[in-house]
Amino acid sequence: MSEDLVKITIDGIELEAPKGTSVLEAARTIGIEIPHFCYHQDLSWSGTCRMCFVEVEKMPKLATACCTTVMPDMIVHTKTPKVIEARRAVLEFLLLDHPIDCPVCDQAGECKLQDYFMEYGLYDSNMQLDAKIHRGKVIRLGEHVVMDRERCILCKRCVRFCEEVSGTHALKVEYRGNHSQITTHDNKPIEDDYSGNLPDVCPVGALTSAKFRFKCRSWLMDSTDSICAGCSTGCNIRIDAYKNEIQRYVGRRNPDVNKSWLCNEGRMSWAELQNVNRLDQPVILDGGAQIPISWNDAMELMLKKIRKAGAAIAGFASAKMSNEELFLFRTLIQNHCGSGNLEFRADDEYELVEEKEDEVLRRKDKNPNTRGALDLDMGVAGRDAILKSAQAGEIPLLLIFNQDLLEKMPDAQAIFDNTFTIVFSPRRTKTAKAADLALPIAEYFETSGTFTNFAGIKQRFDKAVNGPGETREGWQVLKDVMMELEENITFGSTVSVTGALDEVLAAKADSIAKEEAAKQALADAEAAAKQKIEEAQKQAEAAKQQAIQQAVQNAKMEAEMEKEEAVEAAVEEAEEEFEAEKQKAIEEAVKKALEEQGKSE
Amino acid sequence: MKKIVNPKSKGYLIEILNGLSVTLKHLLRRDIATIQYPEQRREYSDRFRGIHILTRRENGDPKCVACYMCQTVCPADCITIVAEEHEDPMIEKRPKSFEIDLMRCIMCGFCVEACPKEALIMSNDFEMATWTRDEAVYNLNKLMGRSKLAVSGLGFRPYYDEDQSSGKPTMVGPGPKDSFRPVYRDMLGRVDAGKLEAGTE
Ligand code: SF4
Ligand code: SF4
Ligand code: SF4
Ligand code: SF4
Ligand code: FES
Repeated sequence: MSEDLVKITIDGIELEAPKGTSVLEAARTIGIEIPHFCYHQDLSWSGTCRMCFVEVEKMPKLATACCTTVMPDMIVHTKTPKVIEARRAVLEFLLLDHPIDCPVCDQAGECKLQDYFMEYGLYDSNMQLDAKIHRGKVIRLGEHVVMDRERCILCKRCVRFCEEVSGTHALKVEYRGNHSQITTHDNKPIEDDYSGNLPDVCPVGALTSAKFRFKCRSWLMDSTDSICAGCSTGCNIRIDAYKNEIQRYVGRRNPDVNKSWLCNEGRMSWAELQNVNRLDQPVILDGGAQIPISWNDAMELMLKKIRKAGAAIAGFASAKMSNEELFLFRTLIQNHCGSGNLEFRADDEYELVEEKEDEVLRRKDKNPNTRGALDLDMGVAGRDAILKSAQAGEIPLLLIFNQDLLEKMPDAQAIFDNTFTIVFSPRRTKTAKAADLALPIAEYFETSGTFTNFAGIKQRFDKAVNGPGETREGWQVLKDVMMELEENITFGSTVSVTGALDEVLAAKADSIAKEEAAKQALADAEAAAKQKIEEAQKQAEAAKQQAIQQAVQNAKMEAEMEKEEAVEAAVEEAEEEFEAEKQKAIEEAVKKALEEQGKSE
Repeated sequence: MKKIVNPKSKGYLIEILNGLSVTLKHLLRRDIATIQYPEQRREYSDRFRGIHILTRRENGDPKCVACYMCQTVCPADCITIVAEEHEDPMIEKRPKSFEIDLMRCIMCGFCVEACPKEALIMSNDFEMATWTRDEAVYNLNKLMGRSKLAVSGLGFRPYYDEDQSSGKPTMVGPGPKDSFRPVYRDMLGRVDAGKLEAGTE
């Protein structure tokens, strides 16, 4: 067993949980859901509601599972009679003054109080209806939130959200004990860019959405998983729709992207996108007026123009398109004229793709798929180049996909004067109004596909509602055009396009990797050669140095030896001389002495 | 002369006479089943499921709080509600529009059973023929102001009587007509007094 894992037993099932996890989280990993109100995956633990009681062996009292960390050899029981009774009692306390107005409460159907009452409550209230304390209903806390104090169970999720996520500290608990209630500081309205999350975070109907209020009941709506297209963050959302009308966006949990949160702008972005200024049938520009035509005629005209223009067509894509649309669009343009006449950058927003707007979620690039367009190399021509060649009359046909060119590049008017323009657009933008042929295509919630967010995470979105009027899904139109042009494609759905696209991207990544590897190998070889040369040089140098040293030493030694020899010789000579002189002196002395002796004799 | 009728096959004559005697008996009956509708009307059960009624509050507003329970339970999907804010926070919600498409309705009464507010009940009125299709879609006004109620009377509803001592509704079943719950009595009173908006039906 590793150091960081703790072995515990929950309801007889042994498991290992990382140190520091709560019993509630550990139980979740083996599919045991412990009822809770105040615990939220993306907020801190607070332990205020007491709904999550479990029995832990050797603990004197019941423990709150949400804020009891796992301990070695802990044995937890979540379904003993004592626990069940405690849950019932907690519920009864929480519901003491509850107004029981589920019929008019927007939370009904997705309310934990309802669910847990049916599961653990089912008691007859001991409280007389008229003895219940009234604390105020329909209190408007700013633009997005309506509060009902009677339904509040004081779990403080909302307070923690404002402290830990949005950082505005907008909400607090005022008074103490039975008088406690949630309120804003100084009764000011909440002006928080993330306040739309509060109704989602509230486990009961105490905080409900002012925007969604009374529009639809929760159980009537169809939910679809999707991605917010409000900016390059790419928050995960759930789209709730009723009778083909979007009713609301709700944050869908993705710990890698948006946790459970959405910004207010993104949350409300559908309202304008779905209903305002939609283009709902193909229109053709005829003497300054836009005349509706049928899709068949529109397709025929488009094909004729594409065939006639041949290799001279150009394409202006946008970072609002899904990866699938981008891929088909790119293939269509490339198969006709190479990649030369392709662009998606109408302004410089794409450079901001990773730039944060605030510290929570929002980013400055308000396009959902800039990263995807960059990955697919959609920006090659340069907008000025396209503008120039259009002005010069070199582009007979320009396809513009979901891009409000005239809004972003006012000088693009020249294009519309000299070129036949086909604009694919979900709404009647300036560009669509100026187009020679405008085709109504679906918004992202009316089609499916993938967006690649700022960090390169590719996320799928599905179709939530049908587009208005005669709108068609963009990728289908592109696919049909390509099939008519007898290109070899057979895509049944966006999923298969994604597959093909992934292959292309993988091949690209592969070739990039290979290139990198080759570069690396080259660099390695160069470095190795350099090293060798250096080593050889070093060796030579060392050898030289050594030789010199040796020579010097030798010379020194020789000199020394010579010196020694010379000294010796000199000494010897001197000695010899001395000896000879001594001898001579002795001889002389002897001779003298003999002479003297002779004289004296 | 040769006998035309074979005595052995004379049985059918007897049967004819039998049949004629039944006809004759009914001709002379005093208690004939056929009534002179519409001058004459049948008494229907108090649980008859006729055209719906939206009951009212004391101030004449609909009791309905637009909870969508009836719309949710309706198997024919013929109820369409649009909710709006009620200015009184203690009521909070009310129907902005409430429509029942009687051409789709199968008169099952589920909506009445689902209503938590006793806001939707049924009448004994079964005359729903109209000249145009639009008229068969009953809106809020039409459902609240049922001018023919005095004639047809109330039909299927969740509570028929009320415990005199506690004042609580009981479900004992149809009682005598004058023991209606006040909410209904009041409604019938309105109809009688002709207090309803003119031209609602
Ligand atoms: S308003 Fe909702 S989230 Fe806030 S304390 Fe009350 S119940 Fe909890
Ligand atoms: S942060 Fe961006 S992606 Fe997330 S909800 Fe807001 S606009 Fe949408
Ligand atoms: S009676 Fe049945 S079918 Fe008719 S509105 Fe009520 S629930 Fe629907
Ligand atoms: S069930 Fe009753 S209160 Fe609810 S919407 Fe229908 S009529 Fe109104
Ligand atoms: S969920 Fe554990 S105390 Fe609230």
